[in-house]
Amino acid sequence: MNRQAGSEGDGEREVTRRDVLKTGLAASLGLGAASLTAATLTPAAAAPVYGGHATVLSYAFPEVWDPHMGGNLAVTAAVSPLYNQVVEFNPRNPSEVIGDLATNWEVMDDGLTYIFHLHEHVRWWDGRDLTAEDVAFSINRMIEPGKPRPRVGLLRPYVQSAEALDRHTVRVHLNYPSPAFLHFFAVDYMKVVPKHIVEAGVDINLWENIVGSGPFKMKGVRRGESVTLEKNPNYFKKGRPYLDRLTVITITDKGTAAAAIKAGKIQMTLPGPLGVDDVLKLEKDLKGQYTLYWQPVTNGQHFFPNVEREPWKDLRIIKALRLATDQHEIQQAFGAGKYLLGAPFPPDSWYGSATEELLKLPGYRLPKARDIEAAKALLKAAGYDPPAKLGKRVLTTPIASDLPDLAQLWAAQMRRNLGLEIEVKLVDGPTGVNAFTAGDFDLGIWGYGYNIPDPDDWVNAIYGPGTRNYPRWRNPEFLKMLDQQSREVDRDKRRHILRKMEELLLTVEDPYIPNRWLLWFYLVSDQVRTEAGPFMPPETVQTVLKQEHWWLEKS
Amino acid sequence: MRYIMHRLVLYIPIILLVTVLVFLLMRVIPGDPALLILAGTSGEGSFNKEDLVNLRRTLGTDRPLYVQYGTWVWGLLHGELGTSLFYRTPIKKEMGPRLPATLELACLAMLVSVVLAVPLGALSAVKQDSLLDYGARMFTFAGISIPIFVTGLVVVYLLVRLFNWFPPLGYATLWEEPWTNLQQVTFPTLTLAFFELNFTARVTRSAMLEVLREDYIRTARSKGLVERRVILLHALKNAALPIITVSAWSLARLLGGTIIIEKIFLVPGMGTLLLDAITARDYTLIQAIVLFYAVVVLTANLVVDVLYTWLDPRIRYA
Repeated sequence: MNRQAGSEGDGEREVTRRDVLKTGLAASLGLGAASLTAATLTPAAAAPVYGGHATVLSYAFPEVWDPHMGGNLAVTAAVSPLYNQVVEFNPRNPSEVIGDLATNWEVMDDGLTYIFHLHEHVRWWDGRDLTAEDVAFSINRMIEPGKPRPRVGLLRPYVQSAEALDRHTVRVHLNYPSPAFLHFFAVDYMKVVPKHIVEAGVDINLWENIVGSGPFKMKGVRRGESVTLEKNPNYFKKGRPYLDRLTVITITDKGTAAAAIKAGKIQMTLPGPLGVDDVLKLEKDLKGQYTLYWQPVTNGQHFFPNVEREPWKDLRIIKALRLATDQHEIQQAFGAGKYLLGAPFPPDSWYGSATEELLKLPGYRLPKARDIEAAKALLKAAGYDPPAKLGKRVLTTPIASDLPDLAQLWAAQMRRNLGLEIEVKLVDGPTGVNAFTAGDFDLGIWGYGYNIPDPDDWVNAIYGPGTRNYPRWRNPEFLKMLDQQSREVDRDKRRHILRKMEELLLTVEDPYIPNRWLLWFYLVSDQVRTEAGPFMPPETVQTVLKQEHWWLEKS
Repeated sequence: MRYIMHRLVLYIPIILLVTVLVFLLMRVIPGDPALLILAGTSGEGSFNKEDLVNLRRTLGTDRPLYVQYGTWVWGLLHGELGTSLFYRTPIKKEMGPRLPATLELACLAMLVSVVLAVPLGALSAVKQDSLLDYGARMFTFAGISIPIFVTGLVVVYLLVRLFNWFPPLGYATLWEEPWTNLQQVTFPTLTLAFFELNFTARVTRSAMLEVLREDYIRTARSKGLVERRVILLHALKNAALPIITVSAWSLARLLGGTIIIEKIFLVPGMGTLLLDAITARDYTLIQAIVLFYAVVVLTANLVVDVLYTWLDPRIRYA
């Protein structure tokens, strides 16, 4: 094991585990087990290789540079290596939260207060010290009311305020003890930005103005094409990063991207622009040179109506459409058999139904005829006999990925199974999202890639008061349980509540027609090595993006 | 001089028309730069209505169209291209580093296409209905029929498939790293040249066929001039007028071709900048780039007009 990284990681793990166990949150956070796993890791990697220039493929060029304004992976992929977080997910054990700027932390007041102790001698690129003032300022900036905070705003329900206790200690007050807080806090958007720069009125949303502290510094930007970073020689983690230079390149054309990978110009792909079929083919063609790593499901997609509009106020109608949706056909058409069934909660996760269970339920089971009859009966009961009485419906479909194809397939299913006419209205992504946000749609199709596997992310965003509840569904019973589970620190009790919530969605009412769960992938050169051996995919695409933990073996 | 001034004056209404067209076109097509900034091009960002209204006000896209147009044209008259809506950087700063790559590609492709196309077309005409003529005609016809993006993708595919080679990523200028630059521009240049040479070769062939039937060619031959002199001095020179005419048009086609070729070969030129600007509905940047292209094409036409007067003095007195 690399000495510097190992000693640093060991220190963080022990304190983290002890502290968490001490506060009784360990079970709910799942950190105890994660930490033990990490502690017993036996890195298989040889001595690290320093130097080299690696290229990482991203699906888009960042639209913004202020990490607190970032809303998608294109932004974090380029910005994350420039800054640090207080805590981060452990690259060697992706489910574990470890310190980044924090050396350790204490949880007090039954989980209502977190005190983070920071590394000393951390410097911004301009030579100023990174202190607790910067950290407190950044946390308060993340939750600043009235400001667009696409991802860091996830902290708003949890964090009340943050304050610097001394030069290297920060206290964070929570609104309620939450098992999800620390995980949200470890997502790569939650960057500490320089207080002195922001307060001086410098726009850190311009790349030229960035003053970071991270493992890499800005070398150059070619708009629309690439972001080139170089090693920060004064990085506070000794021995990191391993690479001298890192380029995050944007290639939107699949053919060009595949060609560049085949020619060995790219060492790692982040999700997109390549599809499942593309990477499976590349994996076959490049056997022995590249390895394909799959992430657990993190992105659920669904059709949804605006339940504030007729006829969708009657949720029996959407249930009928859900029953008539042929999930098996969707599975066969997309994802080369890698995607999972569309379900309210991630299938086979600790709080979601198992795939085998789902396959026995109405809407999922075969043969389909029974469910189609049930769907027609529901529509008849709702006053739509024949179903065509619903009239022509309009499905707003953002042009992204294979959504237009999926929308067409579903429209065909509805025509075939219920005789419904659904017009697929294609719009660009932002226009679609604007229509969904404003409630200016009849039916829509979209999805959400969560930041952390904790249900507080997915369930809150989609079914709760979160930003992705486009159907505008409000079920008091469900919302009560959502709040209960969020505050429940006992994992078993929490799971029990979540199972009841999914049962309600599966049997009583659900505003969505889930169509699939996607899983992302990383195609990585076999030259890439980490302290834990080969590359390890993080739990979600929004984590472990600082790229400080891997190097390139010389070929 | 008066002739040139006359041509220049004619270009003013054309430029004005271009500004009006590109300005209106961008406002007609769906999309909102404020929305794209907030939601991101992938639509993943979260925002509320107030954010959207505030940002539209900041960008100035909520103002009446005539005010936006007037502001833009007023800026142009003062030599200001404006600021990118999406990235809030001066447009000059965005375009400056991109210009050399595109000009290098377009000029090299133009050079290669002319160097190959004129002899090919001339030979094809001289050896009319021979095997060489048939071969050249098939080649040029195929070249015209294949869309440039297909040629580009095939070239990339073949390079990787046959040689396991892809041009180095990260564009280097000719004066910084000549070898890297050469590797990066060779294949995009050849692809663009292939796209263009077929058309020029066909024009050359038909112009030459016409000239070769002229009386003065027969006279030259009957005087006992060697065939090479007849072809090069008498025929080709007189066939040059249509070739030069199409070369200005070629430049416009090549500039159009660079848009897709730069994307395929990852050359960070004006073409990729324009595509990104369109994706982001970066109105001000799109306007500036399209205007730039229009000025380049008009300038090329002006050069051709001047060449006309040199090649055929009768034009000056017409």
